Amino acid sequence: MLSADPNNLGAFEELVLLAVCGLPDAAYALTIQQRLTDKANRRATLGSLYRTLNRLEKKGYLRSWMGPVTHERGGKRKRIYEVTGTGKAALSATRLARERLWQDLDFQPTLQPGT
Amino acid sequence: MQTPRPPRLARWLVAARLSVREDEILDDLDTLFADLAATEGPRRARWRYWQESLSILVLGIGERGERAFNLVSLSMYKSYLLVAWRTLRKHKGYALLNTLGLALGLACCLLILLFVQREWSSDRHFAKADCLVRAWTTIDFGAELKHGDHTAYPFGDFVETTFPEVEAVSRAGLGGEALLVSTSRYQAFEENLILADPNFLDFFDLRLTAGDPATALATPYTVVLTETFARRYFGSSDPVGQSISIHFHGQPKDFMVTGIVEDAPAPAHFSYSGILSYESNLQAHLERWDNDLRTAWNNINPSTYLLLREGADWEALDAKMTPAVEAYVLQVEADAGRDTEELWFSYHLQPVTDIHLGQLGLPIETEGDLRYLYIFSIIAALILLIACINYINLATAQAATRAREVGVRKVFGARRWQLGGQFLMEALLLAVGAFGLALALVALLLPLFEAITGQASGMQPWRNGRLLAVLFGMALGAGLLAGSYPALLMARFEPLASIRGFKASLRGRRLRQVLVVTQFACGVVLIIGTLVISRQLDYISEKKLGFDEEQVVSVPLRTRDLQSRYQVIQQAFDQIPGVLASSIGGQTPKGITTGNGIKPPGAEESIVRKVVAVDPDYDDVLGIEMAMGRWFEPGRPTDSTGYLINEAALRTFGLSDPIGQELNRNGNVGSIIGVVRDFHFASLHHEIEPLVLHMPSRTWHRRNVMLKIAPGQMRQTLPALEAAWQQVAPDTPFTYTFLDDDLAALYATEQRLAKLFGAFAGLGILVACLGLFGLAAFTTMQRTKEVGIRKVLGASVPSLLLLLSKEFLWLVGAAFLVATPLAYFAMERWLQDFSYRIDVPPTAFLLAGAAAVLIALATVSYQALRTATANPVKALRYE
Repeated sequence: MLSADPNNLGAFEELVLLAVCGLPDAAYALTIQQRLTDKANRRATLGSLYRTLNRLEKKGYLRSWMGPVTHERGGKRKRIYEVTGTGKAALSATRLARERLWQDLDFQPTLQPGT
Repeated sequence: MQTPRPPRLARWLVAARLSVREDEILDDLDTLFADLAATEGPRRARWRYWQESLSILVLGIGERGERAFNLVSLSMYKSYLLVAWRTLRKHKGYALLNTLGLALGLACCLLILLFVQREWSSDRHFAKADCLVRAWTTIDFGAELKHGDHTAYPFGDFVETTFPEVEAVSRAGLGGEALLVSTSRYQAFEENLILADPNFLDFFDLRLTAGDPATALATPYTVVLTETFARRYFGSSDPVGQSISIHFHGQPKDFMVTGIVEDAPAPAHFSYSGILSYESNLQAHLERWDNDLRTAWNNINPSTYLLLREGADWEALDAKMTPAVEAYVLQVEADAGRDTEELWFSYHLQPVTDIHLGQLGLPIETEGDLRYLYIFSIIAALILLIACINYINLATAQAATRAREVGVRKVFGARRWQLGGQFLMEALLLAVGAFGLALALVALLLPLFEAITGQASGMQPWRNGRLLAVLFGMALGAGLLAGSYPALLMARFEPLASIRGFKASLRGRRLRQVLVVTQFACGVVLIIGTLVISRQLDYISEKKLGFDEEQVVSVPLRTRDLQSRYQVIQQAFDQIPGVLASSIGGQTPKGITTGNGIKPPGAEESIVRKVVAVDPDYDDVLGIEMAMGRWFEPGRPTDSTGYLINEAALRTFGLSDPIGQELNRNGNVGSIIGVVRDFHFASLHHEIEPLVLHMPSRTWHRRNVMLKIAPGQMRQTLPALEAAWQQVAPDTPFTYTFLDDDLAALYATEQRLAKLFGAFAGLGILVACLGLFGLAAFTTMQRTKEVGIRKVLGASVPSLLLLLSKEFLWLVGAAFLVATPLAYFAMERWLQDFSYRIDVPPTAFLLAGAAAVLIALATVSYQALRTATANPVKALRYE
């Protein structure tokens, strides 16, 4: 079943979506930025991150709301993001397309030393 | 501990730009900052905060209608550049005028900056520059105080032992007379030999390439030479350890070469081709006069440099040193049984870095002059201003032709800042082009400039990256400054009005007029300055000096041997047919120095005065006139103890009937036999000082032969003089100078100023003309139709010319009115430095005004004539 078009998701968009998925109830700009750096070795400025988040929200892959003002953050507000059903579908479609392409290859993904 | 705060500027910028989701983004940034500050320190946090803020600003996050493209998008700049390039190519003439104008302005600026920077950097490059001070003395000349850099030898020892903040002292004798130097290979008079203590090398980072710096100058009669100097005298053989004969205090002495020293680091207040050990001077004084300089407080000779300890305050030291020296010397005098109540000298300090620019006006400092640096900097600023004004004028005038383009762009949705960016890009492109052109111009003009300023070496703009960076910044700044007004103006056009052919150019008209007035006012000030300076120089060269300096050759007798054989030399010269008269004396009128111990008739105290030794023929050679009494006559034995004074001395001494009164000069009592009319024996900056003349009585009184040569005979006579010299003094090279050249050299600074002022005034006017030319082209083009109609209705070409030039004539007239008082006060101020000066001549103003009007007319009339003589049919079809 291919309800979502795998070509509608850019490479950086995919990374951001995945990062949001990995942070249930805790995905906001700074944690997403941190996760991208830690897991994907991708350093993104807040500016480009905001822009991508905005775009993903417009595409309907993300939804967001203002999180509660917690004491931990010193009374600061934050916008919490969550991946929508279409977002998950788009991620799956993209992954499926990738795996189909990988299947016929005669080499396996390897980790470069140091990454 | 205070918690670190995010950088306020970055936070403010973000807050100011954001309109959507402002709070949450700011909160995110603040949290990030707090986290980082806690884990990696405030510095990294601040840095990251800036990075993230800029990324938000550049991408336009949180702005209403988030931008579809980035500020950093290359394609936009590519488009800017492309359009700018196309526009410039379309308006080639305009682009050329503008680039040329700005390039000329920048080139002038670069040249002047180089000059100023070099003057300013003098002596600042020494490693110990901040801790080095030089002593200077004030000498009480009776009526007035004089400053000098000479000190007594024991002064150095005194301050070193008395004041703990003085780490070391070094003495040097700079700027002495030319010395006859000879080896078997070569012989010449050398002017640039200095005396110095061993640690002088250490004070001023002078390095020896051969020899031991600690001992090279430690003993009498040793010398270190520069490489070039050594090669002249020793050829390719190793000079170290060899001996070289130097005439020292009039007698030949064998000096041992103990080392090779690198050339003096430029720019510095001293230079040398060789350094003699200061010990040589001490030893020579002991041998010749049995005078121990080590204890002689009355003999002031060397310059003394003090190396202060790190952090010592020279001003505080200066304040306590002056009275301490005085008390000490008075005690020394009292111990020696001499009763002295007051000293005739006092000691002060100045940082070595202040020497070159001469804030004190000491004689050795006159080459650099802070005031001229200011004058030149102002000229540079004026010329750059003129060039910037050009740009603004041309660009706003051009706005008329681009109004439609702007309108169409706006209709298609161009934002104001995008249009502004477009125009700024054009300005910057021109500025970068102008910078390149300016560098080429400087490379071309540098040799000429060096020749005028007399700084032959050391100016290497290509090696000075910082200077180039500053200049590039200036070019960009000028481009931005000049481009921002047109950018703002054009971006503001109402799209509808400008598409319909709105007369956009009228909007900038008033400003343009003000700018043209400013431009031409600067130009007129420069012209007037040039005229006044050259008039004053003419006045100086034509002023009757009280003697005739033309056709006078001066031959110095620089060794004791020559001085004692003066009769033979004079006789040899007298036999040459071209020589009308000859005289032997102390100095020419240029070099008259001061002597002490003069006691005028009736005076109690002896004072220091200008004194010169002259012979009975001195007045014949120079044509000096008598006011009273008579000149010295040969064959009158009493004259050899007699005195002459000048009129200034007569007034200062307060004598009514001086003839026969007795004057005491260091114990030589004689009567005054005459009064000479005042003549100028120093530069016209100074009033004529009192002067005492006496007959030569010592060998060293006969240091100079002056010869009056018959008119038109100079060319035949000079070789004959040299031949005669070879006969009587074959061992010594023949050197001579012309008295009028020597006197002209007194005004070298002013001559240079006049040349530079003239050159820069010309350039300034040229740049202003470029602007005016472009402006006239645009304004006449706008009135093409009007001219066509007038012509059809029967207007004559002259009346049309007047019509088109009238506006510019008004502007130049206004500029003249603005410039006149400014120029008057500036030049009046400059002339005050001369005791003998012209009044600011009204004709200079008339000439400058006429020149400005003529230049403006000539510039404008080309365009006006073209429009006025064009076929009216073409004009009416235009647009």
